[in-house]
Amino acid sequence: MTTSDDAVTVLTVEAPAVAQRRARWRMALPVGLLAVPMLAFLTYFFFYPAFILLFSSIQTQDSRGIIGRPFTLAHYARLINVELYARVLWTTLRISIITSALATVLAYPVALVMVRSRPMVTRIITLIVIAPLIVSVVVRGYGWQLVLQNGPKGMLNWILMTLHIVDAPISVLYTEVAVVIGSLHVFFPMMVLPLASALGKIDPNLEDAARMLGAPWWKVFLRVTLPLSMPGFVAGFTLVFSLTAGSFVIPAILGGASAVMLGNLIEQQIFVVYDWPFGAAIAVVLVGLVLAVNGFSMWLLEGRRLRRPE
Amino acid sequence: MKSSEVRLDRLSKEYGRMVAVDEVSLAIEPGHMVALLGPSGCGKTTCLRMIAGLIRPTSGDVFVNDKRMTDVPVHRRNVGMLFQNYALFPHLTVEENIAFGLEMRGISKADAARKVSEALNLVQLSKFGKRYPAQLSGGQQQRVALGRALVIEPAMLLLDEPLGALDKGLRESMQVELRALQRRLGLTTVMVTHDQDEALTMADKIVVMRDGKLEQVGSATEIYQRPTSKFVAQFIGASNLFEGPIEQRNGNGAVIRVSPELSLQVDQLPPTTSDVMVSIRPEAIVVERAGQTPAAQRANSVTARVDQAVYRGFVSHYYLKTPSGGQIIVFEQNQSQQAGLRYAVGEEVVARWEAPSNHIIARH
Ligand SMILES: Nc1ncnc2c1ncn2[C@@H]1O[C@H](COP(=O)(O)OP(=O)(O)OP(=O)(O)O)[C@@H](O)[C@H]1O
Ligand SMILES: [Mg+2]
Repeated sequence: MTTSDDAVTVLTVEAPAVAQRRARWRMALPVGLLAVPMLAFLTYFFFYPAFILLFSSIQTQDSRGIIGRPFTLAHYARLINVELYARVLWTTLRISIITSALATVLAYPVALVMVRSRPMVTRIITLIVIAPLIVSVVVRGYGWQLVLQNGPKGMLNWILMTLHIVDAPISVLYTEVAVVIGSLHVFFPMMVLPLASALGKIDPNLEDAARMLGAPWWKVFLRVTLPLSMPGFVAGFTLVFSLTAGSFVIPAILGGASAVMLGNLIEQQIFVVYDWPFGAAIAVVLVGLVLAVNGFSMWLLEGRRLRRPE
Repeated sequence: MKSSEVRLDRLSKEYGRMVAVDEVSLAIEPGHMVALLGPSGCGKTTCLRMIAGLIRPTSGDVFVNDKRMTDVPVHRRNVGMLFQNYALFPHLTVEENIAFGLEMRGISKADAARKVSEALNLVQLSKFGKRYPAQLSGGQQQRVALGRALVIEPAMLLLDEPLGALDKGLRESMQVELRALQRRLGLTTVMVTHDQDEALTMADKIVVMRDGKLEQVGSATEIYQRPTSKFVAQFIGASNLFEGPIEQRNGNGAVIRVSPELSLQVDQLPPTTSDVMVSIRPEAIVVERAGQTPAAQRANSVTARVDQAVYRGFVSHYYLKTPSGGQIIVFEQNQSQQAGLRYAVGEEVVARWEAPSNHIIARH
């Protein structure tokens, strides 16, 4: 008797929940079906090639150019052991970190002004920040080439010499500096936008409260604004780092021979040297590097190590 | 903690052509709690933020103990403030939140730790020091904010609708708690509220604002019993407002003719010779069954019909209609033994009140 009573109670309690779950499924099903084409496309055209790439990187190429057994890690060893290649790896890391760091420093004031101004000003600044995205990276690369050109006819040199800041032309083009400048220009919006979004979520009362508790403006920034904008900083830094590390056009146009990055090395191995397994190994290292940075930032954000404003 | 005297001298703030605060002058005695009360958009927050230094006045000055504060930057003013949304630092623990102001003052770690634990005791949150604000209830969060504001031993305390986000029961107990603490510390306090009950319960002095200007300043009793304008009479509590010409002057008073069936005997001399406006609080009116009153046609008395009756626990609200169409609101306290409403809708009654309940107000 008691058992059947219990069963009845359980049923009546459970029934609505089950019905609700079913209803949710009925809704989810068509949406799920709509997602299938894109998921199938990505699986075939992204994950499958990525797997091939990974697979090629541990295989051997024979004298006729055919890739096959035996499996080997020699390509990875070569990337690290051959000084020429290792230097490219370090250059890539260095340029990416410097670009991301500079972008951060330059983006904070822009993002702050963007968030704290009147709506009209905010709109104008947003436009200024994202407008360059309309122009192709290649065009912007060549633009910078003209500006940074070595020799007295380069725009920068001409200005510096006319203003008597330097006596002889300086060499910027085809150095890491040129690549950093170009990358900064191209990837700056990727830093400003997440930062602005994070800063916009900070309650302005928090800064007022800090001021009233005796904090001058720079302490307000260091103790309140900066820590609370960490999610935006991490997102922006990760984006700019990933994009810079993976870039090809900017170092190709502005870096020349002295600032070769991993992307350019891959192109060289695939199209010039025809050493596909080695090219694949470099690509895997590049992807691994970017994934590691992304994974680290996810860990920072999700593990509540950075507290988000409520 | 020494109490400070705060004075506002013709404080104004303009946003473009819009005047948010218009020449507000006010003296606040040391240790007093003043409530800025008024409808939404009347400039209360703007006024408070100018006192805090968060908004720079267009003209006018704030003085604390006769020292001009207008050019002193916010972080040097030593003013405590509670915000409606608490504004606790979400990335800091309760202890770190409270220690923030001490840290900014360069107080040593040991002293700060002692003061923080004293402050936690004061706001009864000793067990919660290691928690983050998101792990506290609204009431607890506001207590942390109070501890954080008090630990710096501020010259004054500013509250911007500090209890607005709390539910009714908690709000009322916090009102009493906050007021007791403020009294004990003798802390000069300015509070913004649009809740008249809050102002009446907590403040020594109520400042009613309207359209950026001061409308009336006075104690709770003064504001409630002697409103100087129609606006105040209607904004604070409910009021029956009658208007009419002076029929007769007698001694220190006059008779005002409101309608053929209603005349008012007032104990004040009308300030004008034209029409006079009189306010009567709903609880000052007594309702009786028609026919029970012998002198139904005397002043301050009118026969009316019950139009609506609302039972609200310890009071009942009656909305009466006079024969000429005027409305009278009456609040009657219910007796504990009583079953419910004493008068039914449609019933004929007599409403009457004493002459001192008639209060002449300047017309607006
Ligand atoms: N930054 C600003 N720019 C323009 N107008 C403003 C600004 N801040 C406030 N105002 C205007 O000033 C007036 C007073 O605002 P204030 O915030 O002081 O009102 P309040 O009395 O606190 O109202 P509430 O009870 O709704 O909080 C309002 O009409 C508001 O629209
Ligand atoms: Mg306000």
